[in-house]
Amino acid sequence: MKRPGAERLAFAAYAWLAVFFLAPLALVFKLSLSHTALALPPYAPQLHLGDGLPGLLAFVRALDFDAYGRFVRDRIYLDAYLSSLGYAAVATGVLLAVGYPLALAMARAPRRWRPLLVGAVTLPFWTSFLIRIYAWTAILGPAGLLGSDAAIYIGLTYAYLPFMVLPLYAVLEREDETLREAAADLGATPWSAFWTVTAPLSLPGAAAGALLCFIPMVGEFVIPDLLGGPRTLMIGKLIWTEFFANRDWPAACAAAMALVATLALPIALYRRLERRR
Amino acid sequence: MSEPLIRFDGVSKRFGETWAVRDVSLEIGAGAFFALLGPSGSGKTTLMRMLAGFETPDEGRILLDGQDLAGRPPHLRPVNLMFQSYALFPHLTVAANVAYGLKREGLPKAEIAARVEEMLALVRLESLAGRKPAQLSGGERQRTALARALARRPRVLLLDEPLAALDRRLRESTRAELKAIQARLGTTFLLVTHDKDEAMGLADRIAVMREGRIVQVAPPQEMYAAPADRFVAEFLGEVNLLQVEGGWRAVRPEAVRLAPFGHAGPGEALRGRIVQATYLGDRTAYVVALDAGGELRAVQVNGGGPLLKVDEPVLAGLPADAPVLTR
Repeated sequence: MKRPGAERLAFAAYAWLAVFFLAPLALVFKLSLSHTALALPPYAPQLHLGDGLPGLLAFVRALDFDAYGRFVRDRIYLDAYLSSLGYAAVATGVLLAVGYPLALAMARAPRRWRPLLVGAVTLPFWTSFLIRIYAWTAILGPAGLLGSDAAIYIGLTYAYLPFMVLPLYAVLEREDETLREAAADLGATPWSAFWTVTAPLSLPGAAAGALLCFIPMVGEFVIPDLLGGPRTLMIGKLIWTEFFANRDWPAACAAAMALVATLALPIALYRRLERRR
Repeated sequence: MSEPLIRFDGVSKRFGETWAVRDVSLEIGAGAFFALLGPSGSGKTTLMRMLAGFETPDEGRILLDGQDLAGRPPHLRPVNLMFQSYALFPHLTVAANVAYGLKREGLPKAEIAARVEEMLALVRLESLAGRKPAQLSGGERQRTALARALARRPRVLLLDEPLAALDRRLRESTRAELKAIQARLGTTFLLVTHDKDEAMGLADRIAVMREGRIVQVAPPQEMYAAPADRFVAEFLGEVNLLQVEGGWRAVRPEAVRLAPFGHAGPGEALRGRIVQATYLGDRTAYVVALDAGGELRAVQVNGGGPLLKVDEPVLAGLPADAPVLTR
């Protein structure tokens, strides 16, 4: 199983993760333990490495979990989390309902058409995400939908469809055609062959697609900000407000940490599912 | 002969410009173990897939029990196929694979359980009922596929190269087992293969196909002894084709009797010299250069007598009943 070079490759991947994911996460975590201050940057305490060990100890003593206290005191956080999870869950369901037939049609299309169809699904990526969502305001505005929940669902479904379709297409395209023939041979109608063979075998693709969409959708900011109304409550928007409007960095970081913790749950579930297979 | 179970009546099938099956008419009786034998591309698989319902004939009719199968989709045909790749459902256990077809029929639970048990016993897989296909050996997968295809008690069981994926030793025992199961159930088996040993060892009747057409239909022994043409003669095993007036005389190597020069027995014999001798334990394969020109292959059973040596002059006795082929 192990090939020379595989370890080095794994090391590179872990190093990349450590530098670009773990280190910023640690920074955010550290910030979430501090307090707001009228300073630049607007928080205290600040770590000065020149102060040596006593300075470090004083710094650590000044950290606390006060910023997290607001989750208990202020209901708006809990509401924002729940409503974000709600939006993401509903949108994931819509994406599955729209994306599955699309992926299936692509996978069953004549072989020479498939690259073209995959290209068509990824085509929107050639334009900036922000511009595409902004363009939707021009469509949803005249339709009288701008600011409504429907607008958010339309935006989420539109923006995340490729992330649902591509993993589904990957598993459906690999499906062994003789399995469907075997099902038909054993008395299954096409409909029943789909539900007893194709659907269960495509479950990993559906799970991957659902995760790829659900997780970023929970923290989505641009879509609720541009397409939602003033009463749209999503955690991404709340974090943005804490950062840029209230200049409360610790609160924003605490909210972000809570989001990471919430999203680790579905990922862990997915990993368990993967291992069981 | 009463009405055959299966009748192909002038069946043709074209893929693009090429005819995969061309005007095939064939009758298969109930309870037969029938083999479609031919090289790849001869149309045997297409013919079988048309019976299963996966391909539609362009011309002709296929009748089962006297009923035209045209327009009937695969799931409504009383025919089951054991796929060459086995096509086991990877997400289902052995027992669930066998039960699959029974569930589609909507049989009561107790009956399904009883039938699954019966089928697993038939192929000796009771102890592996809870395993997934990925946890099975090649032979166990093959037996699961057989049990699954037989569970619905089909009128005809189609076997697509059933032994091809097995290693040689397993092939021998599986062949015997398959034959025993067919004899026990009395189900009509239709075997498709490119392997003449598989066809001759299993079937009681063989149809040899070539380029979409049927060349000859006969029981194995008869076909081996009296092939319709040179293609069949060569496809069924090694053969010497000696040019004679009006055709070729087909002499099987094992029918040639070699004797040291001067020891000729009764009957016709050709003079020659051994140019190659390959010792194979139970037998020895010789190549004889004939004095009259040409080479003759001969296989002799090693019965204790002295072996013939290279360069030794010999007399090759030919059987009197060797057929003369005109094509």
